[in-house]
Amino acid sequence: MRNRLLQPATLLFLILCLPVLALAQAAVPDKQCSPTGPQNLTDYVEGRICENLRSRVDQTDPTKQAAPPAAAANSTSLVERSSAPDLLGFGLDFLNLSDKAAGDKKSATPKTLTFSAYALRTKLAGKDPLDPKVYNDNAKWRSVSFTVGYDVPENSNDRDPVIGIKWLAYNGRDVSSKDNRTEIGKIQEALKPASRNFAAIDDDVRIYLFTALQKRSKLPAGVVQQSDFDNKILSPTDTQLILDSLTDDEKKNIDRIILKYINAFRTLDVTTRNAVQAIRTRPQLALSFTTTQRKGKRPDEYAGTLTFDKGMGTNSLSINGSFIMKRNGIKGKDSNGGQFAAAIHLPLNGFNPLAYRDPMLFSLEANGTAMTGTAPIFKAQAKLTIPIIAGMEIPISVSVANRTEFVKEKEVKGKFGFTFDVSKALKAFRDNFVKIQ
Amino acid sequence: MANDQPAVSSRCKKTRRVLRNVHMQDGQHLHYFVTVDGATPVFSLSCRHKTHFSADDLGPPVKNYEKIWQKSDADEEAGQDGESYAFTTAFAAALKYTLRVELHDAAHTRVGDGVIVDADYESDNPLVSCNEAFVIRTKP
Repeated sequence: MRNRLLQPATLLFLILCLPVLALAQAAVPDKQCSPTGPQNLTDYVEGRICENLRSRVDQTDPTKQAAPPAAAANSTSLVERSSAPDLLGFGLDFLNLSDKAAGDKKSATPKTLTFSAYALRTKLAGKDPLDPKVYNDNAKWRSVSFTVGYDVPENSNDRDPVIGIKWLAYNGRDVSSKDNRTEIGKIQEALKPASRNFAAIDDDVRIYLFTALQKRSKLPAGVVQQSDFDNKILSPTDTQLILDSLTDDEKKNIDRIILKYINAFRTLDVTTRNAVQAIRTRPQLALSFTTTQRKGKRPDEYAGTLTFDKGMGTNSLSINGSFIMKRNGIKGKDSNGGQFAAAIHLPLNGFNPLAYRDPMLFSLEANGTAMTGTAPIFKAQAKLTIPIIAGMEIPISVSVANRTEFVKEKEVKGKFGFTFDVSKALKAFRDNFVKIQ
Repeated sequence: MANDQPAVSSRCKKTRRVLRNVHMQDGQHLHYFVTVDGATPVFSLSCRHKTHFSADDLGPPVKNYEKIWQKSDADEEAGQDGESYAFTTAFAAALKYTLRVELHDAAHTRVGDGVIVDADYESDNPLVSCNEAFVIRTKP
């Protein structure tokens, strides 16, 4: 009965997604150019440069997987991705929306923890993982990650241990690689004229404002010389009073000064966008091994997976091929087989109703599994990953399968999870911790 | 000027503990300290005439950079009343920069409280750059 209701709901969800997707993928302008807090003249000028440049660029790297491995039965991913978090990731599937463990009781929650060898090494050595020298000297350590945790089989409360290791055999997106350092070097070269032009704008604007306000006898109290005025415009409070006293023409003249120097900022913007895009669309190839040690009569699983990721514009494609062994020990028959999976990840840049810092990510995923002695299983899934704050995301998914491992009937499931990427959140937490201290 | 209330925009979050202009005397120099979190720092200090130093001029990526900037390095022209300097950062491969600028005498001792800039600039958006500006006067 529940499946009958969920199937049309899933179809409706997918149909509604398609037109929204086209709109949501469209580029949108910068979310906000002007500071939300107090601003001095530098911040005001920076905001005006931004307003004049207004062009939206992709902000996402959708390939770092903090979620449970796709091999976990209750994972919100059908397809494994090549990258793991640089430091540590935590995956939790809160709620299996169509679970039926024991009557109305929900089953236990699967949990996995993914951490890089780099995180372990820097922790044990007492080094700062965000030190550029440490980061660049240890690229090989970042290519290996481990996953530990447990899986909860469908419709049960068992907690089956999951252990995995992943080796990023080829990481085209490592910012410490020679090719990517060259891309970063291009940004540095474009930054130099932008920096000179910012100094020129600041010079021209402070002198223009002092002269204009002096002519109108509207200089702030206590200001006699240019140097007095220069001190005032460093203060957000004084700057706000000065800005409030400007006429429309004076504000337009500030924009005219900015426009004289705008090309260097446009070049920096385009160079940065191209460099980031070039890095993010490079391919990645990973090899992983995951085992799930089942309890009771369920077979232990061993899976070796080859994963390939490639960026395509702002989207990315992931393809997996796996060899799977299921061992029943002395009690039953072993089975071997394979799985092929593919996914496309689409950042919804144009749909940002709650002003999240990063865009939501829409993923379409599918996999097919064939094992000896059983009929093939085909699954398809639509997933929406909603960023909450830096490093924290909620994935919501709806999946359809022709059958499940244990039941020969169609199945439609909804899932709701939570992922946490420590490398993205570390900075925010550390800063807050310092403030509390 | 101390401003512990961060200014946050799509460009970057700035936390300024100290920000002031400086009038340098003969024999004094500015000592720049730049601290970075991330993989590859990208930053420059410039006036309108030239770039005075950049991350790539200061060697391979490290966490702590230092640069001594003499009064004679200034480009203030005859008709100028002080000159603006911009410290510009990019976040393509870095998360946070801390800039500290101190006024030192010839013996490398801080002059008075001597801190000209002490501020953090941070962003997790690799596409943004961020600017800080202050005025340096070198004429008597």
